[in-house]
Formats: sequence, structure tokens, C-alpha cells
Amino acid sequence: MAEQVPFGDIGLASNPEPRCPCVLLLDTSGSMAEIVRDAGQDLGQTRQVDGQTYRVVSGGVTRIDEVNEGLKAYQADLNGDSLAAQRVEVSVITFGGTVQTVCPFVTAAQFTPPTLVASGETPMGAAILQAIKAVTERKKLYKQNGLHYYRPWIFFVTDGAPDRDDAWPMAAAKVHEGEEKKQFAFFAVGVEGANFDILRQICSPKRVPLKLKGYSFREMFQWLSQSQRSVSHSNPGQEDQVKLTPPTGWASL
Amino acid sequence: MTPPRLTDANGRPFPLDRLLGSGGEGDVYALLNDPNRVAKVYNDRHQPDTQKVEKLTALIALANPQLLTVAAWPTELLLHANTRRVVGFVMPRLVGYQEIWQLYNPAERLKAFPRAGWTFQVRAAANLAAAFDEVHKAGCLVADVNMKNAQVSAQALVRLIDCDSFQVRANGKQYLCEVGVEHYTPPELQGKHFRSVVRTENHDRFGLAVLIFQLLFVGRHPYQGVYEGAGDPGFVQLITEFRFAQGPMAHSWGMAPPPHTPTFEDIPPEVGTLFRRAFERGSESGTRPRPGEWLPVLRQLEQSSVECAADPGHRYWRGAKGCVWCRLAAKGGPEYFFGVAPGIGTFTVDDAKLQEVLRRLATLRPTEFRYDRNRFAPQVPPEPEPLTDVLEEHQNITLVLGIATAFCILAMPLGFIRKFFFVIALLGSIIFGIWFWILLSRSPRRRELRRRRRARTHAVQDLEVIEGEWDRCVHAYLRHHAELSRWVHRRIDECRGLAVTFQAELKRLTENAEAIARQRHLRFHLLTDAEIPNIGGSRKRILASFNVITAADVEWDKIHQIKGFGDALTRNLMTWKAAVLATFRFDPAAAISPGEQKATVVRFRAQQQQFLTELDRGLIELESLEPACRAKLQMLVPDLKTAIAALEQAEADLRLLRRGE
Ligand SMILES: Nc1ncnc2c1ncn2[C@@H]1O[C@H](COP(=O)(O)OP(=O)(O)O)[C@@H](O)[C@H]1O
Repeated sequence: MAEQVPFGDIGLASNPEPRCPCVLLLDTSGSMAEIVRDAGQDLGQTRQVDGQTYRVVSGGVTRIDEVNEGLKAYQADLNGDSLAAQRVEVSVITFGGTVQTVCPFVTAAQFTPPTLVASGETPMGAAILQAIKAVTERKKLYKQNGLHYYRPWIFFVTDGAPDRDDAWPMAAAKVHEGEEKKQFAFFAVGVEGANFDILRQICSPKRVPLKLKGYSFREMFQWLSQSQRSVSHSNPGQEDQVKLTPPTGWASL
Repeated sequence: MTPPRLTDANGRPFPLDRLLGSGGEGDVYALLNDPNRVAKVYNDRHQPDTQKVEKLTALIALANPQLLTVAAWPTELLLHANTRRVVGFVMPRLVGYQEIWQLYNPAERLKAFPRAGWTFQVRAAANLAAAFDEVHKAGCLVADVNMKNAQVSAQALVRLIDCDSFQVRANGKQYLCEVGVEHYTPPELQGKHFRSVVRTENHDRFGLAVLIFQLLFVGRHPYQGVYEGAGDPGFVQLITEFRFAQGPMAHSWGMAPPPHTPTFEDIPPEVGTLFRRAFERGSESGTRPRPGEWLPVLRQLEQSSVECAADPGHRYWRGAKGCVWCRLAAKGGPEYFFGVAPGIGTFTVDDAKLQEVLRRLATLRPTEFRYDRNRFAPQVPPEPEPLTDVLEEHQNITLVLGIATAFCILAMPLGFIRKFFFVIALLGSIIFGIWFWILLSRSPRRRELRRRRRARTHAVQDLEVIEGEWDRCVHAYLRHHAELSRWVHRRIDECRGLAVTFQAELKRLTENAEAIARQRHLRFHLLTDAEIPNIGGSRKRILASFNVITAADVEWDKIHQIKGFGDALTRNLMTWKAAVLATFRFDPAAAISPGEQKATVVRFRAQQQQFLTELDRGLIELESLEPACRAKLQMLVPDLKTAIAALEQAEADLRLLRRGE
């Protein structure tokens, strides 16, 4: 038994449930600040963001606002199910300008949905690599603490294309390898404006990228929490056999 | 969704009340005129086929008072009022029961069973075994044993639910259970399709043993441990390969118990034997303990448990080496049964423990290791190296010559008597003088003196090197000691500081609660009910269309932006909001929920425990410094003694030579 005991371990030991870890890998580049509804007045200015020109308006709901709302609904739904709340673990990693771990892994019961702000470029490859690293490290911690776990999920949402010189080809290779070895399941969702050509190359052929219908982020997160609930209640290890409800309603292939 | 109109088997109308819960197969309703029973109505996707109706009929025929007390056993069929098809059944109602995982999971238990200690879980385990016993006696199997189908009351009574999925034997037929959860499925059934598997009692006993194990071992699954082999097997594989993480043989198949959990040392050997019979290889051949075998052993365990002297909320098996819960907490693990004994609702710094640390620290004053050369000097003064005969002889000759020279010089005045005498004396004194001088200047005595001086210088240098080493050791020790002592003091201060942080945290929670309560208060005040100057029905409708409905929605920027709402109207609305706010009252004492407070307390206690563990480790290190330094100095002693002896020898040698001068 290890004599050095880092503080976080106590939380791992007092909750013996098998874990169902999930990284929410969210695009927070400047384009996510685009207004999707309820725009106010045109203020007659323009601004360059993420390679595109936008008109500045007052008020309105942006893509990132919708994501934030979706995160809240996601948290609430998981916490409506006390078993899922102790089994599902969430980490939020964002990429907008830089890659940031906004929230390290915590159980859904301890998860406070962050309020994300959009700005900057789209360092997609670095973000994917960081998510894979986070998942690998978490699994190591589970093993040290003798906890069972389900196959981790990486849920990747983007509305853009990688920056120039981005490490996405390397990230793609890692995703393929990870899927092949069943180290994690990588789900990609492209929002209007995403480069699906590259997304298809990143994803494993078994799990092709989905296209978000409009800006139905809320429905997407609801689907995610429902899917994780059913995975966490049924037979871990056999996730492939758990029938996830098809993502109709918010996505198309 | 409204339920269909139902009748009982005799065609009498059977009115339902509100929906209690929904599962995968159907909905469970309260009954309008019977508080003690409920109705389960299958949903459209799970309408019972002939098989299922036969199974339900068989279950109902088996019902007896014992079964009804341990399970939500079906007692009556329910038919659709129009189609007359079976669409559900009636069963006893469970009130105040919670899923068994909410008891065995320590984090969840804090909320669901805050007063349940370890013996409560032992009792629940026994009651669970009793429930399985009844079901098996009726020729049925629970089959889909899992963390939700066994439910526990606040008195540790256990009831099984979802009886319509049991495996039932009746009329020479087996009605199977088509589902299962892997953690409760025995190794030999992993990966099999339940649709075609006829399960046996030995399979059911596995699920029972897993749940009992989880109740006794802080929620851990028997195959949950630290895997010591190569690769990264998932838990299905661990189960399939019988890799039980506890017991004397676990290491032989590469498993160790998970950190921060009890081990077989903390349970009676009889209980351990039953677990080994349930989980080790060979158990698939039918050796798993029957429910009836668990009962006496678990009852005995409950009776032989004792209360811990340090925390009355801790109970443990009398045969163990001590309180397992204190031991785990002291090693930096969670406080599994914190707050089970009433009266620990807040966090206070455990100053007694800190005082103890300080007391221990006080006994650890640094030793000075003062150096005293005399301590290492030889007992007997050294025998000086004797002077050789050559030296003596030479000295005698020199003496004779010296005397002769002196005699000649003294004889010179005799020249006044006879000149001849003077010449002789002069010649003599010159010859003897030169001879004397030659002998004197080439004296081996001088050589010896130089040699002995040199020997002393070397001895001094050698000794200085070793004494320098000694000084360095002592200094390093003293510096390390001072640093560690300072660290301990700092840590103690930090630990004491937890009290302040805790109060700040409570304050923050209270403030949060206040903000939420204020928002709720604002939301209770609807615009439509309010009398606000110049804001009539039509303006209220406009506001409503902009989602301004309650006082909470009234904000200057939001209103001002709406067409037709200038400064004056907006100000009127803001005045109204201020008036509403003025009526807001808040009771800080009732602000934080007990659960929230408890969670905060647990977090701080854990942090304090962490500090105390670190302090203990620091003190142990501090205690080890002195002996370590002593040992190092001890290693210098032989060299030191040799060097001192050499020096004393050199000095004695020198002294001897000098004495002769
Ligand atoms: N006998 C009962 N008394 C009270 N509530 C019950 C009873 N049986 C089931 N329930 C409630 O109904 C919910 C669904 O029941 P369950 O038997 O698990 O359905 P399913 O088998 O369709 O999944 C349960 O979670 C529980 O809250």
C-alpha cells in the first residue's frame, strides 16, 4: 500500500462506485461568440474574430451561451439520478486561444457547471491530446485506488477548423489508436461552420462525426446525460451493447 | 401519461392514485383506497405475453406471509378494463425504503442513512440473507441481483423489489429472468446470454455474497482491488478470472486489497471463510454459502462488535487488533463513520492532538553532541618511545668532550706560570672545542627531535580532519532539526487555521443561501399582482412578452431597452422592486442544510486528518535524526581514537626527548 497519500484520494476511497469518466472537450474559440438568436440592435461596427468578420450588436444569445445552458441542464439531469451522480465523472477542457482544463475530473454530484467565455483561435489537436492525457491519468488513479471503471468518453464539440500548424494529424492518430485498443470512445460533434473533412479524419471509422442540427446544444447535452445514465446503470464493460438512444433530434450523420 | 382504466381479476374497477415511480418496464402507482399496496402497470413496450402472465400467476400462487414481508411480492393480477388483458399486478407498498447501494456507498450513506454505523450494515446483511432464504425456499431465484433491487429501511429491514423478474419454477416449468448486472453475475455466467440460461441457487448465492461483502467492506466489490500483474484487465475480466482482492491467497493471483479499506484481519475468520467460498476459484462448483449459512455468522458478528473508545460512532469486531475505522483514518483514509454518533455537527480543530504533537516536539530538543577530546583519549598514558643507546653513547662522548674543552679553557690561565701550559691548553681547547662542536652539530638527538616534531604535526593534522568531520555531522543534524521543527510549527499553525477557513466557508454557504433565498423571494412577487404607478395591464403584457414577469426580472438595462419604457416608467418599476426587497427576511441559522453542513465538516475533518498524518510523519523523521547522527558519529570513533592516541604518543615522545635537554 502506498504510504504517501495525496489529498484527492480520500474522495476516491469514500465513493466505491465504478466510474464512468467523460471529458467534455469544448470549442470556445471566438466564433462560438456568434449570436444565434434574439439579436438586439446593430451597433454599426464590425469586428474580426477567428478569421471571420462579424457585425457588433447589443444583446442576443450566443453559441457559447447555449453551451453554458446545456451544461447546466446536463448537470441537473445527472444529479436527478443519484446513482449516475456518483458514477459519472466529468472534466471540462476548453480550447479557445489556449487549451484549458476548466474543471478537472469530479463526480457529477460534485460538478459545478462552469460559465464559458468564447475567444481566440482553435488549437484543436493540442486539445484532443490533452483530453487523451487526462483520461489516461484518471485511469491510472482508478487503478491505484482499486476502482472499477467503464470505458471513458471524450465528447468533442467544435464549430471551426484547426489552426494552421495544428497538431491535429498526431491527435487523429492517437484517437484511432485509442479507439482501436478500446482505451476510450471518442465522439465528435460539428457545429455549423466546422470542417467536417478534418473531423472525419480525426474520428475512428466506427464512430463518425455527428452534425449538430442548428444550435440544439441543450438537446445534445440532454442526450449525453441520458446516455451516460443508461451506461452507468447497466453493465459496464459492455457499453457497446448498451443501446444508446440514437442522437436523432439534435444531430445528423 | 394517464394510466388505463383497470379492473381486478374479478372484473371490479380498480382505481389508481398518483404515479410513484417509473422503471424500464412500467410505472408504479399508489392506490386510491389502499395505502399499503401499489400497482405496477407495464408500459406499451413491455405488455405481458402469455409466458409473462403465466409467470405472474405462478408468483401470485406462491405468495405467503413470509414472502410478503421480505419482498414486494405480486398478490393480484390487474386487467385492462376494456381489453381484459393482463396489464399489471398489485404488490405490497414499500414506504421509507432506499436502494441498498445508498447504504453501502459511504459517500451516499452520509445523505441516505446518516446514522447508520457498521453494525447497522451487518444487520442489513443478515436481513438480506434472510430475504434470499425465503425466496429460495419458495423455489424462486432473485436472478437479477443488483444494487437497486434490494431496498433497506431506516431500521435495516430489507425488502426485495422487481419480483416479476425473478426466476420462477412452477408447474414443471422454469420462467427465466432475461437480465442481469455484471457486478452481481458470477464468473461462470459472465458473457452468457440470460435469455437462455437457467440459473441455479449457486448463482444467486454469488449475488448475495457480493452485496454482503459490499455492506461489510465500505462498498467495495470483492473483485475490486489493486491488480499487481501486467496489462490492464477490465473488471469483467477480473471477475471472470476469480481475482478476489481479499484473503490470504489474494497475492497468489496478483491481487491486493484496495487502499484505505478493511481487510480480513478486521472480520472474524468464519465470515472470511464464507467469502472465500463465495469468490475463489472452485466456488462455481456449488460451494457458495447458502443464505442460511450467513445468518448465524452475521448475527454472531453483530453481537461480537464493540464500540470504539475514541468515537462512539465507530463499531468494530472485537477480535480485530483495534478500531479499524480509527486506523484507516489515521493512515490518511476517509472517516467512513464520521458523525454516526450524534452531536458532531460542526468542525473544531482537534487541539488535544496538536498539543500532543507539541509535547512530542518538546521531547525532541536537539542533542548538542558536544565534543570532548578527553573522552576518546587512551586510558593509559602512552609509553614514550625510548631513546636509543647510540643516542646515549653519543651524548656521553659529547659530554666528555665538552668537559675536556671547558677544562682546557679553564686551564689557560696556567700560562702565567708556564707559557707551555697555555699553548697546550689553547691547543687542547681548540681541538676539543672543534671536535665538540662537530659532534654537537651532527647530533642524532637533534635529528630525533626534528623527527618527533614532525610526527606530532602530522598527528595534529590527522586529528583535525576527523574532528572537522564530526563538526560537520553535528551541524547538519542541528540544521535539519531546526528546519523540521519550524516546519512542524508551521503545519500546526496551518491546521489551527482550518477553524477560520471553516467559519469562512460556512459564511460563504450562508451568503449563497441568502442570495438564492432573495432571488426566490423576488420570484414570488408577480408583476401582474403588483400595483405600480403608470404600469397598467397593457404595459404589463408588453413586459411579459420580454420575459419580465416577476420582481426578479426587473433590471434597469433590461427595462430601459424596451420601446416605450423611458426613465420614469423604469424608475417606477425599480422602486417597486426595492419595496419588494425591503420585505425580504432571512434566517441565517436555517440557511445551510444539514447535509451541506455535514459534507463541509467531513471535508475539513479529512483535511485536518491529512495534516495530522503529515505531522506524524514529520515527527517520526525528527525522531530519527538524533539516532542517525549518533550512528554517523559512532562510525568516526575508531578513527578518532586512533588519531588521538597517535597524537598523545607523538607528544609523549617529544616530551621525553625534551626532558633530557
Ligand atoms: N413495492 C413498491 N412500493 C413502492 N414503490 C415501488 C415499489 N416497487 C417499485 N417502486 C418504485 O417504482 C420504481 C420502478 O420500479 P421497478 O420495479 O424497478 O420497475 P422496472 O422493473 O420496470 O424497472 C422503483 O424505482 C421504485 O421507486
